[in-house]
Amino acid sequence: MRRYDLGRLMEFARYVPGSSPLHRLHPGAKLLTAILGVSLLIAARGVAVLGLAFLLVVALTTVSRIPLSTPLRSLRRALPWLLIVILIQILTVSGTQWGANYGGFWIFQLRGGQVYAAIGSLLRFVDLILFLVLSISVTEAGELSYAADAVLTPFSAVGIPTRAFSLTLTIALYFLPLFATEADRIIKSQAARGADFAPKGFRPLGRIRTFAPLFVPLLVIALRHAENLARAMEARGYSPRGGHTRLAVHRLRWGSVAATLGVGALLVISLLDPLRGIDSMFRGLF
Amino acid sequence: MNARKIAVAGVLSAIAIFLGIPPIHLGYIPWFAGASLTVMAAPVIIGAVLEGPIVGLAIGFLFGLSSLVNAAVAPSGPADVLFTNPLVSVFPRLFIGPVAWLIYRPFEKRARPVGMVLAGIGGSLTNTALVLGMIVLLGKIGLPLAGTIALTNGGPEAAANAFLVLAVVAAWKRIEIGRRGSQLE
Repeated sequence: MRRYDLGRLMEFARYVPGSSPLHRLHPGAKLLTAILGVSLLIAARGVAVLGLAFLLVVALTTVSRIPLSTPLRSLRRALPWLLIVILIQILTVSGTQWGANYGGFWIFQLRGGQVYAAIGSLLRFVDLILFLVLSISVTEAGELSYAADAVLTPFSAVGIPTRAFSLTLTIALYFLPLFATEADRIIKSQAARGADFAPKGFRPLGRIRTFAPLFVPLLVIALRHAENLARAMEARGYSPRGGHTRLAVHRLRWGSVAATLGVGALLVISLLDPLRGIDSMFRGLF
Repeated sequence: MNARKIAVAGVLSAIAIFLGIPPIHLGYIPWFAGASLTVMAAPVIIGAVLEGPIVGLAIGFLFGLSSLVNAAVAPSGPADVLFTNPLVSVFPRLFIGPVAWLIYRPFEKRARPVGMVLAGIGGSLTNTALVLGMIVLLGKIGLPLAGTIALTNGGPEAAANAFLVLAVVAAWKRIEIGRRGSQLE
């Protein structure tokens, strides 16, 4: 029965408690720096910028004082898939056939350009994983809706229901553990009726057949919860516009502003591609 | 957005997030092609069918965000590596809800079950097409491979999602579909 114990197995966006400067950033600043940082890593061209970003992310992880095992565990899990993705990229994507020929067989010839592209992809994925894990580790779940609210507030001026959205996020995070319990209950009662939720081996059709008796009750229960919640909110006088207060209020400090502006500046600089020279030197090696 | 829409959006987002949580992955069904089928678009489509495009958009956004987080924290397949890019994991998911709602709307007054099935198929195919399209645009896989995945996974996935959307919404709205199992009189 252990394998049905969903609550115990759940592993989602683990917050690592701490008091480092990164933990103490304003929630809004954490979200903004995460968005800017990810944009930087996606938009970055060339191996040189990605290499520098790698050093920066490692330095920030040290500053955050989260145990190194946290990012390393994610990286270790990703590594085999990473290699598969890069292999597929080399085999199926055209346009990187330049540079020295390292030999090959039949129609596959390994060229320098492909090696260069593979190194770029590898660095970009490693950077993204490390940066996302760092951002998630220093942000508490409760701070997320506060952050969404803080970042989205400017958009409420043009009539977008930003408060409603951050409330949606709060509700989602609040109900998550509840649904683990509900799913657990449904699985156990269906198993008691003879359903096999953990068929041995590779049996896709068996999985599909056992899926509906879990999924349908789970969603109907969810909708019933939503109905009750909506009534409770209305009974307590919830109105979509105006007049909401918060339990915890975070003060915006200069450090948070500086951190956000810093990452924003790095994004702009990386878009200007200042390391072009080093990069073309590097390309020349292949 | 009134209280009802917010509540439905929040609760269905929780389900969408829950289905993708590692290491259980309730929302994945292992499939012959190697890549798993995912029915995680179903909560998004159900939200859009029941409460409109904005609710579908919000659920799709949170679903995308959670797949981004899972891909980085606990990757469990080659696709997860690509999902660390929000252009692949978040952006395409924004369109599932609105597309499903657009398909469902003409059927709302008359043939609701037909509308639900078509919305399920349409929403699911939107997800497949946009995610794969984005991966091809980013130059991570070639177009022929993407087409193969779209055929081997997209079709069964759309069927599974359509079935679940119909089953759940019909059960919730108490719509009679087909022959029922038992009746009192």
